[in-house]
Amino acid sequence: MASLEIKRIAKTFGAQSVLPGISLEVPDKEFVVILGPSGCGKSTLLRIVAGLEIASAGSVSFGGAPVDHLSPGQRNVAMVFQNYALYPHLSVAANIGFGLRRATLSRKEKRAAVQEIARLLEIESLLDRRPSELSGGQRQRVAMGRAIIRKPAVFLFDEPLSNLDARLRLQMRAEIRALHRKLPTTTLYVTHDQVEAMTMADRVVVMREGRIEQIGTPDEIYCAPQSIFVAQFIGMPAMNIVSARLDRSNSALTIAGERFAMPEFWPDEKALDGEVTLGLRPEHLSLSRTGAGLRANVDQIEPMGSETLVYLYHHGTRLCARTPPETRLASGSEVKLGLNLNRAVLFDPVTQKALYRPNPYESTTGETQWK
Amino acid sequence: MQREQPGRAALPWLLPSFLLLALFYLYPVFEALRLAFTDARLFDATTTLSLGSITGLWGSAPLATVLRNTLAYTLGSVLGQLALGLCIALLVVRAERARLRGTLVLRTIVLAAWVIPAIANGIIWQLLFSEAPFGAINSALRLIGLAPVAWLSDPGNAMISAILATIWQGTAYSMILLYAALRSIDQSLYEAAAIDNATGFERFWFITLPHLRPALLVNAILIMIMTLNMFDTVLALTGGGPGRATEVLSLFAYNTVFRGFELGRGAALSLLLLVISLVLTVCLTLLLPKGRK
Amino acid sequence: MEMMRSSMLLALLAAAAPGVTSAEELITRNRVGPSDAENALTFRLTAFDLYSADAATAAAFAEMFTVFIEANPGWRIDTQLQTGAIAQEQARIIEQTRAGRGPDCAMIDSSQLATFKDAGLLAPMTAFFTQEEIDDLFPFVREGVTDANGDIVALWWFTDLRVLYRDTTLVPDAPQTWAELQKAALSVANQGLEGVLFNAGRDEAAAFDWLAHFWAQGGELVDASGRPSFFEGENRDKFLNAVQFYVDLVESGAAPRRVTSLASYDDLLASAAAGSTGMFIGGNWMYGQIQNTMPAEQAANWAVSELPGPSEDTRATGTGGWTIAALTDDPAKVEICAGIARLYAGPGNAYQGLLPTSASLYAEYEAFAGPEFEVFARALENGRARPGVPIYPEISEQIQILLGNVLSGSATPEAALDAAAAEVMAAFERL
Repeated sequence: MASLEIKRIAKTFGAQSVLPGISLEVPDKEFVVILGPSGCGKSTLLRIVAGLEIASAGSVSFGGAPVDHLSPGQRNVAMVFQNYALYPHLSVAANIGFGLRRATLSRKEKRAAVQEIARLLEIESLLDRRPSELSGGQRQRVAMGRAIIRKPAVFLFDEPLSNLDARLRLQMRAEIRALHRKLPTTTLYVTHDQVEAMTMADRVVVMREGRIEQIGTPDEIYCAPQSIFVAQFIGMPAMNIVSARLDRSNSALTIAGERFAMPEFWPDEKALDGEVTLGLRPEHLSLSRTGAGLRANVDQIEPMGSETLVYLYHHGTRLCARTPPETRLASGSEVKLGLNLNRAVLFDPVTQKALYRPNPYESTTGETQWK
Repeated sequence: MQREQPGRAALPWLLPSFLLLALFYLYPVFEALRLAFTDARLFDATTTLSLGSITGLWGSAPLATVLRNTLAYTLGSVLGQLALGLCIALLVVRAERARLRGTLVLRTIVLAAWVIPAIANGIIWQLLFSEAPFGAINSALRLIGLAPVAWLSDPGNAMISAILATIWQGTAYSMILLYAALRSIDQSLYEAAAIDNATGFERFWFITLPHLRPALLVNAILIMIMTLNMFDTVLALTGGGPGRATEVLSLFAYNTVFRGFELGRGAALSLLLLVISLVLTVCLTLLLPKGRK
Repeated sequence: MEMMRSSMLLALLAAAAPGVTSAEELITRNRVGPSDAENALTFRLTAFDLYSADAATAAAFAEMFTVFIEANPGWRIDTQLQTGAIAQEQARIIEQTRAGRGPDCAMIDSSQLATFKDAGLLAPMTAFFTQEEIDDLFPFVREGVTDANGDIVALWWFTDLRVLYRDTTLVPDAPQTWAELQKAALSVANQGLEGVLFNAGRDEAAAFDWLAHFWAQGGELVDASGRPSFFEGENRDKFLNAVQFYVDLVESGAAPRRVTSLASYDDLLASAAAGSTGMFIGGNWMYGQIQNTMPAEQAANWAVSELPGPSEDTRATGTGGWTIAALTDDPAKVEICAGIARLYAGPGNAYQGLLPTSASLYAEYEAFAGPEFEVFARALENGRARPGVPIYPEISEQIQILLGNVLSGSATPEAALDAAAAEVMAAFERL
């Protein structure tokens, strides 16, 4: 059990800089998911923590003690690989027990330890089989068993679920979470799948091109993105991004000539005035035939069962609205878009960074001002 | 319109290669089989059917010596080629992983030995092993203050020399096969092992070796058959001497036909060679993994 | 024969080279003489003379053949080339002759001559040689070419033999006996060089070179009926003596142990050229090689002498070479064939420097004026050819194995001889 501290870790491959210098602190027992598109350097960072790659600069500490000089085996980490990396010529029991082969335990104690892990992962009946005789989900469990039996200081997952089908992924997400509840261990979990990040993480680290774009709880990441990149990377469909103009003296937000009343609790900051980029989740757009709002044309609708997604064009900007399941609109028909500005995020159009973010933990009425 | 049965459509395409194989492979085999049951001689036009060529091998004193030689030569050469080929393949793969330069050059050099004709290989090694005062290896030994070695004139050493020459040439073949097998091993297994604090030996024992098992077995079968049938290296190196110290079965068959002119007996010997090769092939094939259940 | 083998590559090249033609087109790739001649004789020859890859040699023989064909008007020689695969080619001649498709006249390897004689395929040539010519042949040659009826059935047109080579700066006087050879070799060995070298590896050369020592004592490999007898009676002692001669050379250090790995005259030549050996037992043709490969002053140090014997007047040397024989019943053709043979034996040998088989030819031609030819001619008086029996290859093989086993210390001479005898007799039974 240990906290994990990453200090200004940099990594270059030849002339190519993969990580320019990254810092991250993970408190003991926290489950942190590193999320980012492929090539963002998240796996490299994980492998540096594991000791499989040598950092070009910076330091990694477990529980305050630097581990940079230690080999992967000496770091007391456990890692679960995307392709499970089970030893194909060893039985399931031998795979799970592999990490114990030098532990000062009797043969009986080792067998008991393996049994206990197998019971925990519900793979007791598979102990004598070879990995090649297992399904993907079973292999995944064995890989986790091999990792947890050593009671590591830090748990590392490298896209562990991406080789599984959707249904199994759903199930394994829950199981990994449950496992973490039973055996709380500092965990670094790398994925490109935002659903995994949103559902499993205590905190999410969004990475882009070797840099950390935002660190926050899943709610913060979703409701209060710090940049347009996070806003659009997280959420399916992505956050709507619209150019607007804010005039605080008149409490007015203008979008393509349409005036909207500015929420009162938006901060009284001069910096906000002028051209801004407005970010709104699809669930914060509402449709009406008449009424007030932005004029938009329906492009297509996607009935999802529990809801219907409506894609629209507003002056060439493509938007998406999450509407009740019974919504049916003809392509090309004109509608009015209502905006729930209480939940809107304001970005600087130049820096793409957030100027104002709503409090994700406040109700949507927006009565309380963001501090 | 119904599509033609694939079996019927395939026949005309297979026929040419089948005929070629039959002409150049099966015919000589049947001819050797036929000759083995005669008393044919190279200079004698009249041959009669006879079991003498085959029964004459039974209890033949030279054949016993030759079979012992064949066993030592084949075993030594095959194990040597596998071990050395594996070492070089491991070296090349490690060097490539470490992004060192020169691995291609190394592979090319090793392969160069393989493309040399066996007879030339024998001659090269004969020059190297020469015990004349100007012999290459012995001169080098003298230079570093070691006593010269009777590489080819001592019966025991001669077999070792023959094995060395064969290993030198055959290693490239094993190296290439094992290199390909090594390259196909999932790298994350080694990473998992590294995280499990496995030693170099444990990585080799638990990951590399089990993965190489099929490649090693196939390799062993192939080079065992190649070595059994190889006589040109030994022919050029020692001619089978001193005495019969390095006379292996294939060379014995060659000598019987082309020096003793006993065609029938030589055919019987090559038949014996064929049977040994087949038995070995079957034995080793049984050891191969049977595929997944 | 060894010379032929070393020139095999040349033969292959010659076969591929364009035909040599005289200005009058009298000689083409497959014919000597006018194409419309009324009489034709087929002649199967090797590719070392008329069709040699060496243009000078080919031209010289073309001239000889032109003179010959002009002296025999009305005749044409249809030439057929043999490849370098001697054993196969000789077997083919036998088969074709039996089937009535053989050549009228052919070059036959001296070691195969007995097979041809036994098969009764050779036409008598006695009528076409004078008694003087016949008497002048070396004894082993006369014996070889005479059939059971006392007829001459071939002309052995050149021969080769084994002699002792020595570096006269190390061994000034030629050793005449086995004991002298060992003594001289030991004195060289004491100077840190190799005393004497000889082939004792797995090659016919090893057996044949050694057989001279067996024959020198009057030993016989086979009896009159062709049955192997080298391991019986007096032959056994002579055989063991000759083996012991080699054993003593090696055990005393006069010869290095590595002789069991020597299986080629080229190895011996290399040691001579390196100046690392005092003496070696080699073939007569190596004299020319020494002159050609070594610097003149070094070559001048090397001298030849007759192989030493157990005593000074018991000597022998193994001889090979080629013959020309007629395989036709037509006396006119036999006469032309004899003429061709004479052409090769006389001017042909003089040009090529091959050893003629009668003493008078050495005097007749300027080419044989060198001191070495005196030695060769004298040694040839004691020449011994391989016995013309089909078991000979097996005997040779067993001698090679025996020498290797005994000289490497793997077997005693007696045990090795018994083993060799058993294998030779087993092979003899299979004949």
